[in-house]
Amino acid sequence: MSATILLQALLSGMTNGAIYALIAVGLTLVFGVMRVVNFAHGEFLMLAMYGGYLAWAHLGLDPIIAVVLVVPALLALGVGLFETLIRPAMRVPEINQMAVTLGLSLLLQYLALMVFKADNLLIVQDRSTASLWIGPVLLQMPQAIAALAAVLLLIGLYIVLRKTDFGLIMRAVSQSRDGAALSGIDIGRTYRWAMGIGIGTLGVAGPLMASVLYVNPHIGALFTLKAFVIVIVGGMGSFGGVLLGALLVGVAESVAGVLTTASVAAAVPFALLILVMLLRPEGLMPVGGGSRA
Amino acid sequence: MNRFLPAIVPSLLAAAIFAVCLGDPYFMEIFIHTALMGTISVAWNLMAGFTGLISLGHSLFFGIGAYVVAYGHIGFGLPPLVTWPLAVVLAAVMALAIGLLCFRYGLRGYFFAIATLAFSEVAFLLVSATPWLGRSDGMMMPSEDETLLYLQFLEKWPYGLMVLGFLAITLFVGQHLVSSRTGFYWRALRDNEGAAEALGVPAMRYKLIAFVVSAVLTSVGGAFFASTFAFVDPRSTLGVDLSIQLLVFSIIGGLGLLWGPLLGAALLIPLGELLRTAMGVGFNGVNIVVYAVLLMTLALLLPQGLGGWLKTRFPAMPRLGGKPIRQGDAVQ
Repeated sequence: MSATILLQALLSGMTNGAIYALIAVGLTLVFGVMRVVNFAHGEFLMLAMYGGYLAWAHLGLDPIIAVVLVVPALLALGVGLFETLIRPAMRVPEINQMAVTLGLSLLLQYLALMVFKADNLLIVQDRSTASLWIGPVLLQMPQAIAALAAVLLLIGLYIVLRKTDFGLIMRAVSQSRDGAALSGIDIGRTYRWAMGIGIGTLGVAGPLMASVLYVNPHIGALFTLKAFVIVIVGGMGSFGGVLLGALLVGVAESVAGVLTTASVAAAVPFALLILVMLLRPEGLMPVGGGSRA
Repeated sequence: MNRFLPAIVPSLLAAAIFAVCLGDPYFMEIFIHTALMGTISVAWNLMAGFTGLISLGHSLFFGIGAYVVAYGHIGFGLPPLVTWPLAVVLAAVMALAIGLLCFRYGLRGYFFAIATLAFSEVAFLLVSATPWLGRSDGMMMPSEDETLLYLQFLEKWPYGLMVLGFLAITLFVGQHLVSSRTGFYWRALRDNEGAAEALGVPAMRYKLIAFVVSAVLTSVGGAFFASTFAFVDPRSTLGVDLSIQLLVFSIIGGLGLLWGPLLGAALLIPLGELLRTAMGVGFNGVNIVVYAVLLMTLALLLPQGLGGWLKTRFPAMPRLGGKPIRQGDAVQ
């Protein structure tokens, strides 16, 4: 294997990693604040991808512009999800919470299958085949755009969580729910916003990814699993951990794809998770040891 | 009152249903599927409902059972008499290893669930990529002349009889465990692990016992699957969907009850079959949509499941080892 191929794998692994980070950060935000793991997280990404695709196919909107429409829709879906399912789910045992979000994941997949059929859909534009040369290696344009948007949004989220009162409230609730409530923070409202933002971030990822990857009703499940792996590898609830975990997963997957078959490469993130559990079960950047979201 | 009543009553009911299905191969097939899934859900629930350990990777043990039997037959011509015990040993060793790894750090709740999921996904993806295991296409087991030795029957009912035995044994083993000291330790660990340990419950040991017993029973289910259908493939024996089904049946039937998951499977599998035939081809997803809605509704409104609800409605029903999980109970 030549150095160029390895370099190419590293670069595409890193761009994938940036996109994975954007997907996983919503999951970790919801878990950090609410202690609920949403097994339907990927299905909301799937909906956002369909949103982007439909906006392009029927309204002729560029995915970058579609983001402006899809983000509020996903934010509303997140708030709606909290009010209808998650709020009551927080009163039942954890296993029932799992059942609720797993049920939602199945429901959304099969409703999407009925509405959109099983076809693989992709946004194809002039720039779809364009690419950037970065030194000796090549970067596909749609991928570059998605990764750039992911990095920008992650920086924005980080600033909001670290520098604003809103972020302070989020962090307070994630550190101690009762303590935050005693200080006069409206917990229900914080949960609603955490869920809204956690799902809303997928509104950025979805439309941009619809020009990178074929969208079909079952695509979400794959990303839910990857996001889990990333979040645990990085340290559940930690912002920096998500970035590190996502880059590791992206690069490991991509390098393994060059060295072995696609199926083996798909197992790499899970093998990585098992390895981290063996060597460093608290995650690479555990909450409390660094910045927390 | 006989403490095995909760095992005897469902076994007799299942035997009655088996007898009714005897005349019709189609119904017998549904019976086999339902009894198999119900039984491994009971095994899964020994961990989840009684010990508070939610595994989303149980397909791994089912897959071990199925693939050891299939590969043993195809690769070496080994009969089930040899491969079934082999599968059980392998599943037990695997559960012991995964359990030691997970419990060493006190992994519980979501973390344990996702860790077990990771193990089964690695197995699923690796088997899907392995040529001598048939990749994602699976493997067909050839017909043999010694039909009895290889458990190859022309008719369906011998398989129904086998799964009926498996169901009864699982219920008896389960009931024996949950009504003994082991079961009390399990429930103590489920309700408050710290307090239980402080009182001298060896947490590691009893969680491992739950994991290994559950995995072994599940691998027998997988071995049975391979012998019955003479075919294995990664999606139906190692996929996440299988593990999720165990959770679905258990939640709907009732986590706190030994026979709860059996009830869940007995309601949902025939219902799914009914919906599938009623809707016809083209509406493949309708049964899953119904599943999903039922699951969400029951998980929220009836956390103790249908079995738990029946028990509170009819308290005269036999005491069935363990209280149903109530709303507000913390299962971590």
